Amino acid sequence: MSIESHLDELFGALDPLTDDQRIANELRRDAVWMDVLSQVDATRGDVRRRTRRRRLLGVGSLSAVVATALVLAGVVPGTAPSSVAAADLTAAAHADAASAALPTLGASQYYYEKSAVSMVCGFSSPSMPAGESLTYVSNGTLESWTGSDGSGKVVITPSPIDANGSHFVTPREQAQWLAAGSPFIPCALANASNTFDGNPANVNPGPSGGYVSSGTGFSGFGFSLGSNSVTTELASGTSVNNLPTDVAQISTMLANGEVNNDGSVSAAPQTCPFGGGWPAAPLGCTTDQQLFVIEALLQLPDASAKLGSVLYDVMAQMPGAAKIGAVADSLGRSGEGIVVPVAEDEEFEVVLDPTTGALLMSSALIASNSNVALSQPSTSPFTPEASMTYGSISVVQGVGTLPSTQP
Amino acid sequence: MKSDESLTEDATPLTLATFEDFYRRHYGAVSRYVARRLAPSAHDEVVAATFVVAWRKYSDVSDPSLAWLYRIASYEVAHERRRLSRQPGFDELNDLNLTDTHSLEDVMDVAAAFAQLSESDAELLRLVHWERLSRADVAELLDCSVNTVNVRYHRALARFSSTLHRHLNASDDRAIAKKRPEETP
Repeated sequence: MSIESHLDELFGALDPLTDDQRIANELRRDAVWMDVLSQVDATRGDVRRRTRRRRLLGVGSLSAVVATALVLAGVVPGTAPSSVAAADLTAAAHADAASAALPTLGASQYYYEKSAVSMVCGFSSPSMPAGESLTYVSNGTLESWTGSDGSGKVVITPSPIDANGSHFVTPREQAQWLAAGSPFIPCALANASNTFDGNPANVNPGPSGGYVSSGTGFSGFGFSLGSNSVTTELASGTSVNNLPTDVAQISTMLANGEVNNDGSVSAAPQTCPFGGGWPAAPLGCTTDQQLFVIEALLQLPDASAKLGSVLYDVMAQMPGAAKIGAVADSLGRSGEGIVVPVAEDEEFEVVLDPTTGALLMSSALIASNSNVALSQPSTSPFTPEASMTYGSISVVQGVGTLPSTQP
Repeated sequence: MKSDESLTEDATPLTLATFEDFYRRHYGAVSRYVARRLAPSAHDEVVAATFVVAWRKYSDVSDPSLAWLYRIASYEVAHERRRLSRQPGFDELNDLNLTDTHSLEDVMDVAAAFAQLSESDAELLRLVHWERLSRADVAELLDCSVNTVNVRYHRALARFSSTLHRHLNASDDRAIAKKRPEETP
């Protein structure tokens, strides 16, 4: 297949904008203008109310602020800590620095890491009422083999329906799925219980016929769970090996946009790799963008061990970082939870081992009371949207080889 | 925060009529940009938010242009797309509105390959193939030379092509493995 000769067709298949939508949006020009006017008149500038949650801080946190100021003043000259979590993060980082050393790889040896991943996805099919979708929490595994030069591969494998903790977000939605004839779930492993071809629940009853499904996946973390195992080859040069371990140096590089989401680096400041590339965009990354990059870096193989401590320190300096106490990761390990606001109604959470400072889990959270929150009742104001729970790292002989005792 | 009074003190006073003209000239482009990147339900809010921010900043820039609007819109989209990612009709590549002309696996292969591009690579390809901008227009928008755009474009395309071939090969392998039991008498 010649990619070049089919570019328009290929990208056309991905272009979500139909003529009907375009025309409908054109017709909304005046309505949107009225919306603009109402907001401008109403607020004179402070337009979109920020509902980002700020956790209340305990009295005990005050000493942490002072201690952190003293610690960080020596680490990053001129940088004042902005969060009470900074001390916890910094202490964890320092502890982790001692535990982060991985064994040196010999010839043909690779680091093997098996992590548990989870994401929320929505889907619909022709057998469901128009405009309705169901929400499913899909769990899977992410295995990585990385050599000393960063080369290797990553294999992401979704779980079958209802296996490995995967589930519909509510029993009601599971009942709706059954009532709809068990349509194909695009984010669960395709097998005899989850079929697309020949599944009557996915048959388009319209004149065009054919099998139809619509999938929705979380985007933001460095993985996506589909209906099949996906293998990605890792090229040398795109690993966390490229990144410095000096906090001040990596902070500067992140601020300058020099660190790409895949771990490769730019020799000079550039437009932020996250949401960058836009016309006249300034060089460098905002604080929010830096956090998105850190999120991506923490999904790279071995990042939790090789780079976690440095990134903790960087996160400690971010506005709004807050400690949320004891949290269990998806494997039941107890850790210390810390969150950093990412955007409106969204937070990034990391769970650290309180003793070693090792990174146990990272999660993207969304406000449960937002208009896109899960329909399940929740006692927590924020709900996990995607998460990665890190396993221990072993040394194996060759790509694809498993350790004798699986971590 | 600017008030109307402060706006009128600028060298180039911003009047509502001026801004409405700016809005009407660029609404279509911003609308299409947002519609291609977010669920339909988010369109109005994000387009409006883009122009409200533009209103606030209009007098701070020397040449408020479509390029400048795209940048504002990109920030609004970046925030909204993560919040809206579970709504019907949206995924990391926006809609995968499948029809009988594209099989699920084919489109998912293309989608998966596209998803593995860096955001800057993906946006460059979207600008060329979705927004239909010429290389010269892209160069102006990205504030770089046409040659730079050409180099970046071909590198992005090479990465996309390589990744897509891997996905297609993997799909072929799966299809062969799937058929084997049926071929056994």
